[in-house]
Amino acid sequence: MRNSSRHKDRDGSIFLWLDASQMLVLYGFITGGAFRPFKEFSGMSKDALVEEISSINALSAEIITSLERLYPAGSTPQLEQFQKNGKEDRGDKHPGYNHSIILQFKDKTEWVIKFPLNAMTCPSLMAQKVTSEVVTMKWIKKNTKIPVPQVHGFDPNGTSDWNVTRRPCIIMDKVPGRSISEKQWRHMKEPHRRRSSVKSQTS
Amino acid sequence: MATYERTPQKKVISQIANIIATLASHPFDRIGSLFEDKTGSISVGPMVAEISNSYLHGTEHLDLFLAPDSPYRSATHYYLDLAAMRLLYEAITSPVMNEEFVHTWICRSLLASCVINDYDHGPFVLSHGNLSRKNVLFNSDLQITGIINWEWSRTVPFQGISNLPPFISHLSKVENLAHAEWFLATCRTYHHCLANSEDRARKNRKDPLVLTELYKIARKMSSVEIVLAGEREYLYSTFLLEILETMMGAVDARAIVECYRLAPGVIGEFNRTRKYIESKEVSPR
Repeated sequence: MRNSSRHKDRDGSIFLWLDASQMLVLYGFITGGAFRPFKEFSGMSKDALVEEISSINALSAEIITSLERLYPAGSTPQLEQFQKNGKEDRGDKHPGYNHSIILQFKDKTEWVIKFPLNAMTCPSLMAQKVTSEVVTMKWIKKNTKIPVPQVHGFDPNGTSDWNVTRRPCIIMDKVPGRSISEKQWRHMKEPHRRRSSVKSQTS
Repeated sequence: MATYERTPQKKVISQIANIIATLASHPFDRIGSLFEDKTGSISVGPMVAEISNSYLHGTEHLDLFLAPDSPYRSATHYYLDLAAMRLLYEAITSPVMNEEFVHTWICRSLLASCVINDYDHGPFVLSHGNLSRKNVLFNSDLQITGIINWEWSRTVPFQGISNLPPFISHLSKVENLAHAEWFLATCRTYHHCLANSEDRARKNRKDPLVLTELYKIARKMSSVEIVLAGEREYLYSTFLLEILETMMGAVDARAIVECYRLAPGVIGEFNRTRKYIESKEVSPR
């Protein structure tokens, strides 16, 4: 065993056994030829996916009617704006498993309606998957202080009376805030920069 | 409680560690997805999260990957089932035995040495399933405003706590030595934050820091855990560099894989799997 492959933490026990140079080799495998990426999406019909996403984007009237039915007159503000979320041409990137649309109300409240994509989900598990996601968020809210979106309605089968989109969906709060991009993450200041840092080897 | 310099990154990592520690403080009795009964009580039911997304897209026979034995009562059973699905997937992908099949076979054979016996039958803990940077939202003050996309969530073996959340572990590339050092520093920070969160959370000060200890112990074996848990892209990198070297020192991992490729047990299982696939008339799409 190479000694250099061990990092010791404060207690002297082994914390990470990869050192930086091994990390480089490791990622070399991933970015270089030795790593065979998954063919997960190569066999899938991209046309079907693009078609499904545009058919969801065409559901604006149905979404508004569904919301009005779910929250009958007076209890909910009218939809002010209908924003399409998600780029339709995603190239070779992972297409994601859902297509979400942001719903903005007159009072600037924002909800989101999330449609799992048929092209990306096992049909026989669709309803259970939607149900379990909602139940999990409910459990989190009840048992922890972890912030999760409030669910306003969901339909695991796409067959509820109120749901004229006829698609499985979850309607919930749009969580405010932004995620951290990889670029931002990398440029956040390191907590404990060691003096022996090897930044001179950069470039 | 130790006070650290509150750099932005430290602030972010400590909140992530706190979420992991919070989830780990609620034990479940089985491995699967959460469901609610008519009385409104929530418990563990069939696994629908990971299975519904992981191995399904390359094949026509999706029903082969539905984890009929879930919810699981032991970590071993869960890992064995996931490994079986992976072997099936690889045999469908390639009619000739591929390297991934051999790798997965070897990983599965290491399972007994990787499961921590004390936690084989629980407790199990809820995992978000994809706690990546994309699924965590922050305000301008770098406080978490919400965790989204719980569709991959499920309960998992307790030793899964040793896996770094993708928020920390996922980088599209590592460019140079300084970047790699930076990454390892974020891992160490995460480890310390986890210890702090656990220290704050425990009520009886005499309790050992279970999470922290587990993190140290199980990280050595976490590569196998990651592979068996369905993280397919880790197969090469973890197997070659981490598992074999950790266990055996500097060895020619490829030579070992070549040996196993000729082993009668591996060949036999591959042939049986292919026969099964042919009987189902499954072909890759």
